[in-house]
Amino acid sequence: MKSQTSYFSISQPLIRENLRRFWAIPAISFLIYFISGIFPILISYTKINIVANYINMSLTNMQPFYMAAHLVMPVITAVVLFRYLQNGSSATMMHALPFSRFKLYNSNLISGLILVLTPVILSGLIMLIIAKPAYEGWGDGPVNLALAVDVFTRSAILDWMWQSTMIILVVYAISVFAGLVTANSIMHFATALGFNFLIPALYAIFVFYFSTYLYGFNISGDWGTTCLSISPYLEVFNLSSDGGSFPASHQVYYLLNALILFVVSSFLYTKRKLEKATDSLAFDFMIPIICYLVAFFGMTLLGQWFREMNRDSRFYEFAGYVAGAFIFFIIGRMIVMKTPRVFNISSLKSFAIYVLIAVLFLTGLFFDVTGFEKRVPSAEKVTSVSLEDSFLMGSYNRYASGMYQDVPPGEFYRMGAVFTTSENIAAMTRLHASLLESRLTFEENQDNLIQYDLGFNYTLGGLNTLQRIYTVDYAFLKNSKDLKTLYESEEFKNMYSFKNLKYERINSINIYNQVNPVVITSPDQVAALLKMFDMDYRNETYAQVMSLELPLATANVNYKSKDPTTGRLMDNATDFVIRDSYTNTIGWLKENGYYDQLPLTEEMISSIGIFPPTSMEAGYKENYMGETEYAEQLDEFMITDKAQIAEIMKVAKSQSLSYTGYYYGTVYYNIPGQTEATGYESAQAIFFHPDEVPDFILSHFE
Amino acid sequence: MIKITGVDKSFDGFKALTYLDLNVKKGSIYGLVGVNGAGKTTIIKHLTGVLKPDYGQILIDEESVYENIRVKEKMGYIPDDLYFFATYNLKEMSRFYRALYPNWDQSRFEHMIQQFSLDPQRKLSRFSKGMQKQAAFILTMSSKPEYLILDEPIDGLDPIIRKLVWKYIVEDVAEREMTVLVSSHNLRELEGICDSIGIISNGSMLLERDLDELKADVHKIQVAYLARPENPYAGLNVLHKETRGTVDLLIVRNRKEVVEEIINESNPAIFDILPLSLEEIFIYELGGENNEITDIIF
Repeated sequence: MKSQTSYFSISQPLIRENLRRFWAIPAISFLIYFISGIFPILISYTKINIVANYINMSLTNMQPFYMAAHLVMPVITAVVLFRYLQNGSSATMMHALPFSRFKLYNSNLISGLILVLTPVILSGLIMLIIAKPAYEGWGDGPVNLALAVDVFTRSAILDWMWQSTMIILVVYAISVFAGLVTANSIMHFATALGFNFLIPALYAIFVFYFSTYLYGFNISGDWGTTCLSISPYLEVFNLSSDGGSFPASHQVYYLLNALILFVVSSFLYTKRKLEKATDSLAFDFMIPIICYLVAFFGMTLLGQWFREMNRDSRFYEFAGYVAGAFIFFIIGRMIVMKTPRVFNISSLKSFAIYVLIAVLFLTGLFFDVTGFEKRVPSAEKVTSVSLEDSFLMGSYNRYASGMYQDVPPGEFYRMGAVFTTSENIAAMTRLHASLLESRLTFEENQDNLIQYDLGFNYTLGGLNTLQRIYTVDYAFLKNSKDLKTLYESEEFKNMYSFKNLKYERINSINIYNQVNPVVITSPDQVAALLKMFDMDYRNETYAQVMSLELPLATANVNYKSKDPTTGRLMDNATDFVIRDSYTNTIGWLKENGYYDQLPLTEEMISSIGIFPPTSMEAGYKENYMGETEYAEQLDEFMITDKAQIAEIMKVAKSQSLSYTGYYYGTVYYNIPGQTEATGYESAQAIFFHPDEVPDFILSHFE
Repeated sequence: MIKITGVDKSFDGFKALTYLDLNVKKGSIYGLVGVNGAGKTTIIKHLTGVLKPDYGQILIDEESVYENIRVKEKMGYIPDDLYFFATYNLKEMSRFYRALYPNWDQSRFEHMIQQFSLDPQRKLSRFSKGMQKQAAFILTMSSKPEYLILDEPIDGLDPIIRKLVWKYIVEDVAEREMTVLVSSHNLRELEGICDSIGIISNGSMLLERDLDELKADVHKIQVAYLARPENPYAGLNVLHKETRGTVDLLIVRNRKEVVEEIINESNPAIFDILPLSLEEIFIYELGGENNEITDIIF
């Protein structure tokens, strides 16, 4: 008799009947997988490369029909299988039959697993049978087989089957759990869908609160990745379209997740009160949980809605929080109590508890009770720290390429410079502390200066990390002694040396000065030029890095590298700017006869159009026009005088320092042989710093 | 044998059963009577293993029912609110029952379908309420239960079918010693069929008695005298007395022989012992002033 009441007992007759009753669910699932995934392959089977991109999308689960089936079918399966619990007569009848509760639960659970996994297995088997090379190319032209990669391999199909199995398993486990804690089918369906996204949603909302109220909270990077990886359903979006598998640790986490949910649901089944059928929830402990969740989401929604009405007044924001908490608490209460009669002492007590929690949470954030904002790790405790400098990355492509370091798959945001020496770590913590001292300046930004992000990612030993991000202005960056220490350090110079560029081969270097392109393809010349450039790069001072002077030219290095995720050979490019201070590079260019074409002279410039500082703002305010549309109506000061052009080019800068009050313009270059024939000109945007605007421009706009 | 001892059950603070005792002898038919909301269905759900008592013990053949598959296999249950798998017909349901109940009798199932004139291929959801009840009865009786629990079994059945249902039940009790517990809020329905009766009120057992025992002890007599002796009914234990002209109508609780002896000693002109209905027994037994009993009877 023990076997009949053991935790693992199942009823074959019940499983058989479940499969007979609900066969339509896997049938529909299979049809979805077949028609949206396999059928397009079959009709293009002889020219399979046409659908290679689609196959890749399907096998990486980025195909919308697959994702819809992965989510909806397990939810529906759980709802129909456990529907007998949500109705008084069926709950009574099923439990009066010769089953134990474990036997009923296990049998229904297994029935569901068969129903939800069969279509994936069947579709996978069909794809395994029809698999043949399908090469995904880039662009609209014919596929270059030398570069393209076979996306329809058996291992890719097996990957899809395993990935889909994990997604379905977790979605189904959550849906079964939802069925056990709810007491009617509508609530079951709603909570099954909701619970699947509940933890990521809560995580995202908390991150939102933290980023809104905690100075320095880093919303990018790890947070988003972690949020998505909470659920295998969302983890798919963490993987690039090139596919790849879930990290092994995540796979273990998902499987454990499903297992724990199955066990917890089994326990809840034995504790479930059948007389609760047709209520909203089967367990009283769920009443405040669901009610508070609804209130919390509503409070956040209305709070932020009101905040957007008037960002300058905290009153609006708080009014939104109060209104949201009150309204949505009542709605939540009505849902969980399944009655509009919720205006009673019990509800008031429950609301008081919620208000207390919400007040503690919000005041905790406002007053930074954990000391988050002031926390700067001690240099001795830091094992490494990366710095994401958006000025550097935005100004110079090579610092943002991620091709000089080993970037873990799926962590493309980790493109900052990583420092490990004690001197540099100390400089980083000093930089961090000095930044916090100027917090008010950056937050108020009274001069409406353009601001740049500085991100700090500390590794504090083991798995402990500390991430912060701040916005700072150009002056802070330029004048920071710590940044100077960091960017002039041996460690940094080694990091972005061309010796560390991860390439298979370099195809060419294109040097461009707006007018004359220079193309160097000889491997020897490429190697020699890069060597010279590397010497100049190593000698470059921080002041030169921060210079906003127009460079002599920009060199574009075209190379092939391996994609870190797929191992495919990819076209890649990185830029470096050639400044007047790059004596070794310039010397080499001169020696090899390339230099003469590079320096820009006023003769190459046909005209410069200058705009006054207030024109763009006025245009937006008065007309709400787009930038291009408005620019056409601006009072453009066209300059063709060569002396004035020369004067302008001496002071022109590559970037503005402020969002307002700056003069700016466009330089139009004559391209030899083209401008005369076609009228085509090359154009370059220039900016003036406030104290460097030539007098003739100032007087023109007075 | 069914033995329920001291069962308590509360639902969200509402006390549904209070220290309830119930005993059903093997091979007997037990009538559970009570008004709506008295707790009949609740105790039946405990008895069938659907609900777990807060306190107390529910034993069938000295084994606990809750989570006991072996006991449940011996039990047939027809609830008041029926449930069948959606889209299933009687034949498909029988396939499921056949797989669950070791004593399933296929020939009986087929015979009963014919006798009740039900279409086994027709969806059960398309059956009328009465036909669904017949279908549930066929399925349950085909599993040949040792214990049959019926909750308002004949609601919605026409008189011919009622008779057929009772016939099957009585036959199984006689032939297989099946034990039956049947709930109803109508005493008249149970009178001719039950061996014993339990009256439940507000979750407690008000009275539990064998019918034969009741009928043996309580008598309805009418007596008339040409010359009325002094105090002729002394020692009879009169529960109720009415006088219509010269005829006295009495309800007395005593052994029949004693009643006959006492009355005959007073030389009555007329002395008849009249049949006593179950309703009357309960009315007079309980004093006739108990609202619960009145509600049950009328």
